[in-house]
Amino acid sequence: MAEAMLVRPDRKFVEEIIAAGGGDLKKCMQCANCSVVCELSDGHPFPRKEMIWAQWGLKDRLVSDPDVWMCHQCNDCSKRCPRGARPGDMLAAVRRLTVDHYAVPRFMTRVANRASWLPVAFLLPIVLLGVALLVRDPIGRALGFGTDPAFYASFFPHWLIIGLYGFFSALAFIAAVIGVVRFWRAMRRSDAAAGIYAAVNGIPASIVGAVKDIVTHYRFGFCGAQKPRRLAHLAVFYGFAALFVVTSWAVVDLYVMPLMGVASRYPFDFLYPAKILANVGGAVLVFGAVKVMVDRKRAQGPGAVGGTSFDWIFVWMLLGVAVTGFAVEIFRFTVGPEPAAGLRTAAYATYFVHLVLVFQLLIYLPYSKFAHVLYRTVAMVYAEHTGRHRPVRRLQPQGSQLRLPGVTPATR
Amino acid sequence: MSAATDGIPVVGNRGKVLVIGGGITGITAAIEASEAGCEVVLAEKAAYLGGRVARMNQYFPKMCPPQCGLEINLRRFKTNPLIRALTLADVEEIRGTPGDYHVTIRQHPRGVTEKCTTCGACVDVCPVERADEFNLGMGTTKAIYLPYEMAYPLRLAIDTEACLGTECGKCVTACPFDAIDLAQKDETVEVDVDAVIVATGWEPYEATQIEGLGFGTHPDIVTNVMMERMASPMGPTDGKIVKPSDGGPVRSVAFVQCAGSRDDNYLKHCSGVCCMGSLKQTRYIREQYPEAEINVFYIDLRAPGRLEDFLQAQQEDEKLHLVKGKVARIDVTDDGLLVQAEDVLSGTRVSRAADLVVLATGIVPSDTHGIRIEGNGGLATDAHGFLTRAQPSAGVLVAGCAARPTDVATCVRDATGAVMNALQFCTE
Repeated sequence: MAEAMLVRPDRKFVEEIIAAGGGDLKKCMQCANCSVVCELSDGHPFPRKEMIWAQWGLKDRLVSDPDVWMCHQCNDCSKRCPRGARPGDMLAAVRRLTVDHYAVPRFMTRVANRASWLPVAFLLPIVLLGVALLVRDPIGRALGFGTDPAFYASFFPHWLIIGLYGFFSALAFIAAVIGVVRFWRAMRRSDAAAGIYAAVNGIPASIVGAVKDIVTHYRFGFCGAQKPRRLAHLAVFYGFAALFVVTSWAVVDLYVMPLMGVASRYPFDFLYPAKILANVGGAVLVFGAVKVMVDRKRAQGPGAVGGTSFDWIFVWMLLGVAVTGFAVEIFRFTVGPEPAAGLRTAAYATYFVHLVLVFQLLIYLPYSKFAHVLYRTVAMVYAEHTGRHRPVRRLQPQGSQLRLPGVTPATR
Repeated sequence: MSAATDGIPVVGNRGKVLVIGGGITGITAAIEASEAGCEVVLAEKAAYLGGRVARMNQYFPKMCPPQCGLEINLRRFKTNPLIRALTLADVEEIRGTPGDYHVTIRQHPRGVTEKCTTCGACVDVCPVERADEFNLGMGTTKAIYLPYEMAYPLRLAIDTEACLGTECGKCVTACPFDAIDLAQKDETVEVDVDAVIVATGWEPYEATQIEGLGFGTHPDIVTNVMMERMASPMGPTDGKIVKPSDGGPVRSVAFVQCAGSRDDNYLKHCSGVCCMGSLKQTRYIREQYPEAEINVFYIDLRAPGRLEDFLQAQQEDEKLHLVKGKVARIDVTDDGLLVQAEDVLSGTRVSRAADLVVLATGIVPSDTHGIRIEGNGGLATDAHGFLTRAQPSAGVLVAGCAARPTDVATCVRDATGAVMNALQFCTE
């Protein structure tokens, strides 16, 4: 407490937080009601300290703060804030700006998240996929791929999808890794500078702990004001996970299984287990995405979680992928062997749209809200690693600190 | 008309003033106006004068009992022939213009006449118990009761809502002085005055509304006004500060500042006096429990002017911990009450056990909606419900906590100021 600290306020960053949805942060009077109201704020209380960092424009602190990512934005803090400073919204804005901060290249965050850049966001995959279609035949011949008789593969062959998506996904993956590694190092550096870095759990154990939490949404379950959001998020999470598994299996089925002498079963029958999983997953994803939207739209009052373009573009993208996926499937199972030209065009157009949306979802991952999959996970692992992720305990006295005579740290 | 009391010449030809409210502000205004030569009608809604101040144990920063000043004022009051005090009186309507107001006052039955000697024979026979409103619900009285030891007028009163009425009538039989009249009805009193001083005062904020602080769920969570009564030698515990749950001694106390105050969800304003009020109450605790741990949780400590000295004196107390952090939750556990906050200065969560939790609730202006003003509906209020200084009718003046939350000393000065203003409208 005693040593002097030179505060270098970044006024531009304050404006950025305000623009990203933290518009009420200056109303904060540092009463710390929020840090106690929050069921997840424990060993390292938040979001009171984040509010003053935000007011002071201490960007370095905020973008290296794991606690920002402990928040699931139930908005209990905003609901009960005496000043209407909406700490929950401020944390959401900081999460967005953290993704921005570590993004490589940075301009992609604009493409992925800004409503005004949406045309560019669509144009990019449309052009890439269009070019791919134009060069489909010559490249296919050069590489020795024959024409695939399957309905969609004859239009957009699997080798082309895997080549194109593989290449750009790899780029996105590299960008994502750079981002989260920088994030991890920043968190470590920040804690070390504050003299509070401590490796309490090993990295493998920390990963196991974080994954357990994510799989069960355990801490999300403590959120009060916006409890229904947990179910919506679980649905989106598991719906998407199922689709991701099936897609991965399809690649394995197409290219790995034949190498092992097992004939590919792609395209899958309607009752093939992977297909059943895909359909169930798709339905759950649609349910979850719609519930996310309805919950956000319906929420009223100070506890409401409205969201910004950052949130809405992402959830629309998810819904778009799921809905176009179902449309593509319906076409596949309903068109006969010799479909009319118009029907074929409609099916291919739908498929193209589906591919565009999937491309956006995957390639914009390090820049869009999807990046929370990485950053939140990394922050949770870090929290486990440093022991700040103490289990939430209610009504449990914590050791001698609470017993009488309760001697307290001097505060004056 | 002329008379003399305490050597002060009293001249009743300076016009007439109505004072609404018989708390410290209203009493002061009535005395000052009468000593300036005005006739005064004072209307108090309760059965006694003294208001909130009568329920205080001590004033900060001098730690002197309000009974002292109140006694002096009441004496000046009683001996002043120019003041007519109406208790159990609600002002219903004010008509007219500055210098020429016609006021309608409804006076509710007291059930006890001037013959009462406060012998208490009626209390012994009364079968009905009611919550002791003077002691903020701590304890009970009979339906016929003496509001408090120094009550003025010094007469018992009947709580007409609790009283069983003439069917019971035991008190009437028991009274040796024939002082009880259960047949009394509401009466309307009409007065003509030149000016009106509104000194309707305040109410403590209703603490049950505050989420998380558990008032009403556990007896050991009390409010600051209840603490005043507990510390008062004339209070429900005879001045002994104890755990209300079992009457046992107190080893640790937590003061929760801004309980509902400065909060958009409850009471938006700062009442300005609760910080000093709680620091004052820590002295009550310390006098009785030299070893008790005291935590005061605050957002900001407000000790303006010379009160800074009082704060500094309290900071010398090594077992008094001032914790910067608003209490958001009080957990009721098997081990007692746990007060939950973040210590902002160290950035850590604190959870402090407390045998007794005192919620520093704020000042809410008394409800004045019942007072109709001709042409204006009612009295003008600001965004927080306090009465504005400038009322639509210039001869209606506002003083004390009716205008804004403040301490007793300011209320008294306020009353004098209002009288000065009222005199402008008083005609001979």
